[in-house]
Amino acid sequence: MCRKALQYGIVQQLIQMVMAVQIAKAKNIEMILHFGFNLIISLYACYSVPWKHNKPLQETKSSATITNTIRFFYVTNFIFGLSATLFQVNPPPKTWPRVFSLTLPLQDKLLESIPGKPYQTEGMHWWGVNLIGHACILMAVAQCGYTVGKKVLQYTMLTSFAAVYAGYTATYLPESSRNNIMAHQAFNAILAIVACYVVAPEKAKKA
Amino acid sequence: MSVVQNVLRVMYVQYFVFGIAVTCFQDQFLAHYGRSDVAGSQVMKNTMTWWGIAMLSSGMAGAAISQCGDYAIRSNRPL
Repeated sequence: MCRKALQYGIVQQLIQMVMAVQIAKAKNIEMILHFGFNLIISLYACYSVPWKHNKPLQETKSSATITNTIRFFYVTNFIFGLSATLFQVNPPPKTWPRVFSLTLPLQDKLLESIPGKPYQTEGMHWWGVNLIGHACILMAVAQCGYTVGKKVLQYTMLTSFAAVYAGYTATYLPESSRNNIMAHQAFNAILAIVACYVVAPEKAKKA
Repeated sequence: MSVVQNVLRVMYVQYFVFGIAVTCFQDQFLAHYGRSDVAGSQVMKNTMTWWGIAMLSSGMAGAAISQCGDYAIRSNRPL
């Protein structure tokens, strides 16, 4: 499972390597070395460390609610991640591969829909890549058992609360944007609470 | 398993360090990266806040996964 999360997280490191070359405006070499190091240790851990064939432990509980909540989170993270990277209104750099340039006519109205345009293009790229990476990790978690899913939801709901607080204190944003952010993050937190503490897990099916 | 777990720990510690730096120490972070052009920009700081929260979220997920260890091998599917 740890291995699966690392494998899926490699997607983020690969995109970050591209961004260090194409998007970053300073310390490009530092970034390439940093992301390259992360990529190499992830590849080593996933593909070079021998796999111990311990007898897998059987999960005694299962919860479709937890799995579906995690799926919902990774789909929304992917959508927001793609919106913040490939579908910004601002044109991509001239060196952007042609295949990405083709998405220009389809550009989302993400920035246009937000009054006051409070987001910076380069920052959005890094934010978006992180959302995509987080979605990949959650995708790995969704494929595993009840215990991991519940623990991940419990831990990540803290950042939903942090995001509600950040939205509340972001008085520089238009009122409508703040309300949208707080409503979205509160919904995520409530969903995680319901999945973890309200809906009882079922007994896992035996092989 | 421990090597894999330790690599995951390295990853989530990085997420936490960068997440906290990007949300709580924005001026220092921008100064370190030599970005005086956007140092005073509220727009950049707003973007960085949400970027940092996304990193903290990934750090939290990594911490949860690494705690599960071998137990995390368990799957929803019948074994």
